[in-house]
Amino acid sequence: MKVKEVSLLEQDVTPSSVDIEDLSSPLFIAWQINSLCNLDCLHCCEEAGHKMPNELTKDEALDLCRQIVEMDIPYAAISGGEPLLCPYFFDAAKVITDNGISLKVETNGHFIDEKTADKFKEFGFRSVQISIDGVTPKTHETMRIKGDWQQSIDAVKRLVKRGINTEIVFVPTKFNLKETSQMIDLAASLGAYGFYTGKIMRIGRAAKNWDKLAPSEKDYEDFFKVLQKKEEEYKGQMKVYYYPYDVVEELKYRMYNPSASLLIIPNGKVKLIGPLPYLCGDLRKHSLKEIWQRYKQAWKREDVLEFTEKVIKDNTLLAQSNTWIELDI
Amino acid sequence: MQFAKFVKLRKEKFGSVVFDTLKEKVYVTNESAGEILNLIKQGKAKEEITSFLKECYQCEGETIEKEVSEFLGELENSKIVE
Repeated sequence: MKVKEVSLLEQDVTPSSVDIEDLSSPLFIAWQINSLCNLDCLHCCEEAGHKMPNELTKDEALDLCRQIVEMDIPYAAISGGEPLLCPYFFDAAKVITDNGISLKVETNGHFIDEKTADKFKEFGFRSVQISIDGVTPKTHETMRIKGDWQQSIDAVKRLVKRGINTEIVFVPTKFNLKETSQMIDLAASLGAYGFYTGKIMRIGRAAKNWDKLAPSEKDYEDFFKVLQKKEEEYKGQMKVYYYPYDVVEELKYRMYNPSASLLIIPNGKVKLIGPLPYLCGDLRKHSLKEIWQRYKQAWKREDVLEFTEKVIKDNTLLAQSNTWIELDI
Repeated sequence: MQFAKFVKLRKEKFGSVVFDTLKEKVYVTNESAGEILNLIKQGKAKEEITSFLKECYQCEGETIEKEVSEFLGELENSKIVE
């Protein structure tokens, strides 16, 4: 009667001891509910900003939520764009949380005023993740164009005050890497439940701004040393979580051990995995159940595996991740 | 005895998947452990679980009691139940 523990990657469910073929449905849904964003971050993987053509309608989005419930998927995350700019965000969140599914919300925090924080508390979210990329407004706002550091900090305070699990996400770049230690201290002093970070991913706008953003290997060595130290320092008080691998290392693993998760983009198409351009389903054509089967089939295709090998050899190909290719499955 | 907040249970052909969504950890079990988890989900106490399994498997009481205790101990250590 032994239970077997398997750690997960952030936003990427990885029961490596279980073949996804044996799972009746995904364990995690990452849903980019919209593409509209009030910020224009230099490192945005989704290249968010404007509304995407053909985004799901409210009815279609709620139908997706019902399918998530029917498939007994235990955990979902809603991100964007900025999800709080989606007019049906709370309607979707309600279907998910009312049915006992854990829901994480990923936001820049700009729209979490007192009233919205009260609503978040009522909904009982698993957690709220807020992106803060520096200990000063200057650093944060250099990376997060049109961002307002103080608004994000105030959002954290409002959520923590209400007892909501609040996680701070920090993307290391040349601009902020030296602030990592102070940033973790700041997160702890704000009462955050967790601090999440890892290597910047060379996709989306981050790929376009790579030379400006990417830390050196030496920088990363120092970065991970700080994280190890801080993880120990805050043990039992705040979870300091970091994923030590980059996108290429992730792909090497994933091509033979696909995650038990689906990544849904705002137009209802489903990506095989963030760093690759492949789409394995479309909620306007397929049910979520069908997409789960298509996802499993897609990972066995030679063309997918061959292209993944190419990306592993030439990481500049990651820049094509948002130029979607629909797989004929 | 109950599952900790944000711990979810799902039955699969091979047994069960327990997902602590707060810690983002997945646990997989075989069928018999899955049965115990299902009884916990129904709100059964340790004694009720043990007597249910004794009836089902018609095993010696001590063996079942020991296995159930060990398994529940593992669940408590992993903070899956509280």
